[in-house]
Amino acid sequence: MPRESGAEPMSNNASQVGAAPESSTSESPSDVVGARLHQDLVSSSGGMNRRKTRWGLYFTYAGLITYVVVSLLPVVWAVLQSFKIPTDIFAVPPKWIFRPTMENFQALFSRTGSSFFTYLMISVVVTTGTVLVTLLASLPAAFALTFLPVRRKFWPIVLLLAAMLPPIVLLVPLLLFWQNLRMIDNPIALVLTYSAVSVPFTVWLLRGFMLQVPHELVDASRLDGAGDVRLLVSVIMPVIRAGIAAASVFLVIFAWNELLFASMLTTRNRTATAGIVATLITDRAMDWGTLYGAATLVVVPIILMTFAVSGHFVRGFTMGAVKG
Amino acid sequence: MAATQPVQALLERVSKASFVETWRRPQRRMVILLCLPAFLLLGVLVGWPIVYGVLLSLQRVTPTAAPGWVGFRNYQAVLGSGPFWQTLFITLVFTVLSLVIELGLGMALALMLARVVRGAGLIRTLILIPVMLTPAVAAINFRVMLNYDYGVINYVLNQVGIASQPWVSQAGVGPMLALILTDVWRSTPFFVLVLSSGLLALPQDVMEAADVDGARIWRKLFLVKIPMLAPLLLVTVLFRVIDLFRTFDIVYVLTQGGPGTSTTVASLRIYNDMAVGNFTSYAATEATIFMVLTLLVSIGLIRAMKAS
Repeated sequence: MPRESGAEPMSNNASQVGAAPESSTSESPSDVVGARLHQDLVSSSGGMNRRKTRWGLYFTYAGLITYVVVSLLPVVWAVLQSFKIPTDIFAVPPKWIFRPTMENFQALFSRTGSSFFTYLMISVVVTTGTVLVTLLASLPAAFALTFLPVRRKFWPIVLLLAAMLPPIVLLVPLLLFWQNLRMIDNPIALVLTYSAVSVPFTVWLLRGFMLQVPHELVDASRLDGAGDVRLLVSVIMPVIRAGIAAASVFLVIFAWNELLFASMLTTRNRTATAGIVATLITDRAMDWGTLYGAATLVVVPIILMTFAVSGHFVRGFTMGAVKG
Repeated sequence: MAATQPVQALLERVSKASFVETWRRPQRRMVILLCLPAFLLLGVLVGWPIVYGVLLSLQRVTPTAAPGWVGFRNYQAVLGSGPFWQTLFITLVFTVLSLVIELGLGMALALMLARVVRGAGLIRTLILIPVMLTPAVAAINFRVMLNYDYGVINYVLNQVGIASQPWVSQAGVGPMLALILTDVWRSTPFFVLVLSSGLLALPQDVMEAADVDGARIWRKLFLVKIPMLAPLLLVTVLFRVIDLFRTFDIVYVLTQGGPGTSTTVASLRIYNDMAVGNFTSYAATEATIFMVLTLLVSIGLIRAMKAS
């Protein structure tokens, strides 16, 4: 491990310097890794005993890595399960090493009557639609609440309260509403429901980013004669693209994962999430292999997305929170 | 929004300060235009359903007869029933226990994460994964892992000399523990990431001043870091409480509220009354009461936020 090789020369160094390992000036890390470690140590704590801090840093890494490994084990396990034949899935002791099979995935896409492919497509459509509709509705609203004369204390609170409304409250009325319109099983009903539910949080989040836009920029474009719409589209939106990205991440996660409305407002044209859960709940002779295969297909895109966008997630939340 | 009395009072008070802002005419038109799509969506699919839900709670809706007004009889029925209170109690227990564990564990890990420089980005990303994963699907996996006979978790327990636990199959603390475990697994990262980015943003000079003062680690944590993080901490807690209150997915998949009704949280009860029992007005009444309770909690937390 590079960390340890970096630590080695340093401890030698310290012991050569002799009786005063604490003296901060005498150390000269001998290589780049050492220099990085040095930086870690300095940044982690100001004037504490170096040796103590170094061990502290090791424990810190050990703690974090343990947590990461433990928290990812269930995910790895689930993905492994999807490559097992049925008898291996419930084997005791659990099989970590086995001969992988693609059977489960083949069954998902080829078996007659399997609707999983349809479910996946519906999920993709509903998720894309939700992101687009919500952003189209939220961007202008967030702009108006940030840059135009409105009651600046009143609306953010209303937004926050609306964002906190439990979706279950809307379940009964919305079910009757969409039933009356004969829109059950129609992905458009899901897109509009998801968008409506997400608008308050999205506006709140985008507003957090818009408040960061320097006033000079807004004033300058106003002087140039930019109207509100042009100001929003060609000045504000490019500046807050990180915010738009953060909002999109939230929306993708929400729409892709949602279960409550998806299982209530659909009976055949389900989303992937609702489809899997419905199979679990209703199908007595369920095939756990294909279920795990489906679960993997639902989850892997999200894992890939996490690697692409992890920065946006935290920034989006903290930005909204601090400025909310 | 169906604003209840206290909501309105709060809103009035908060907005009074900004009444001085003038509403210039053409700009006002622009405001309305820009907000129109959002208002339409919210009005039709959130505002109206709330009103409609309240109206339903004042009626008796049966599949056979025409709906009739019954005043507050539904409320009497709901509030007078033991199971509804039990549901609220279960929701509260689940929320408080999960929150405390997630906050404690999250803070500890955030302090660790804020100390490391090398590899911090990768660790952050890996920690984040459980938050993003589909809760319902993750819960299916936990259900298999918690299986009494074949589950990995009981297998690991056996290896270290602990007998197999029934977890979700038998009444007792097991089912609730399983739910809390799943939620802690899923949501602790949220605290870790938000708090660690908050810790990194703390003004460096204050931290150095505390170092010069020779403040011990714990004193520094409780007297300097946590107070400075308070606003962020409160917002995060607020969002988690609201999220825990509305938990549906993992309960629906992991225990389905059982055994019996021992883990039936509020959302699941309302869902079951509607989807399984078809008690429309009863479910609407429960939903209305639940909404008011959630609003009260939110307002309390928002006030705490404003005060800090």
